[in-house]
Amino acid sequence: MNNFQKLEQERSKEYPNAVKNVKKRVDKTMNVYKFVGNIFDLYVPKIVGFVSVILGGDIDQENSSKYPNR
Amino acid sequence: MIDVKETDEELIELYKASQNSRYFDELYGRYSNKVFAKCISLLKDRALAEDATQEIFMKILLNISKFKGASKFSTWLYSITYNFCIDYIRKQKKNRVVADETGIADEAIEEVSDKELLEIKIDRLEVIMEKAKPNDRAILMMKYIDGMSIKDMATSLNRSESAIKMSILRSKHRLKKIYNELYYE
Repeated sequence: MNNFQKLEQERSKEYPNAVKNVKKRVDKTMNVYKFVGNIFDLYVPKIVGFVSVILGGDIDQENSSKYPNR
Repeated sequence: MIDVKETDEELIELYKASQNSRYFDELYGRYSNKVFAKCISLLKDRALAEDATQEIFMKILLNISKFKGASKFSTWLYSITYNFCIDYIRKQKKNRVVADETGIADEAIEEVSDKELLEIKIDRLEVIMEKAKPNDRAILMMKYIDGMSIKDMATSLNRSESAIKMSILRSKHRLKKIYNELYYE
């Protein structure tokens, strides 16, 4: 290990809690991203379906037969 | 429990396949101190360095699918780190004249050997690195801390290999000049 590397190692030891704090913030941000992603996955297809029906489109024929008992 | 023998690249593949955060946690554990140390060396402010470290790891997470293993993970991570910090400093300086490569144009560049710089005592090295320009610090850190090749540095900084070689020459010269001014004049 050369002196440049030793200097970097010493510097990181000067702030022992810094990376722990950062990790909490990264996790929090990722949780927000995941939450937004889940909301998107859950509701966007429904909204798209709803909008297409409003605009005169038809509901998916395979999933909603007019005569389900036949 | 993560197998300690797993390489960074294997951890990334496992993370991509499973999205299990423990693989990312392991990578974070391996590199967060180094990334933070680079950020604080370049930005010289704890709060800024924490913000930068957070942004860098978020970039890693959000772009991990783009990592194809063409370079080592550490090279990729450090590239993002240096570029992030250099961009930040550049934005801060945008209203000022940036005397990076131009400041030395009329001055003769004396070639400084690696040995000369590597033999500088650590307390003195700390002082002169503090006084060096951020771009010089970044170049010297890439070379002497991360051991990056000229090719990797050129790719990371989006510059030609000859431009990187010249930057190294100038950065070494300027660091030695600071050293001589402080300790021999």
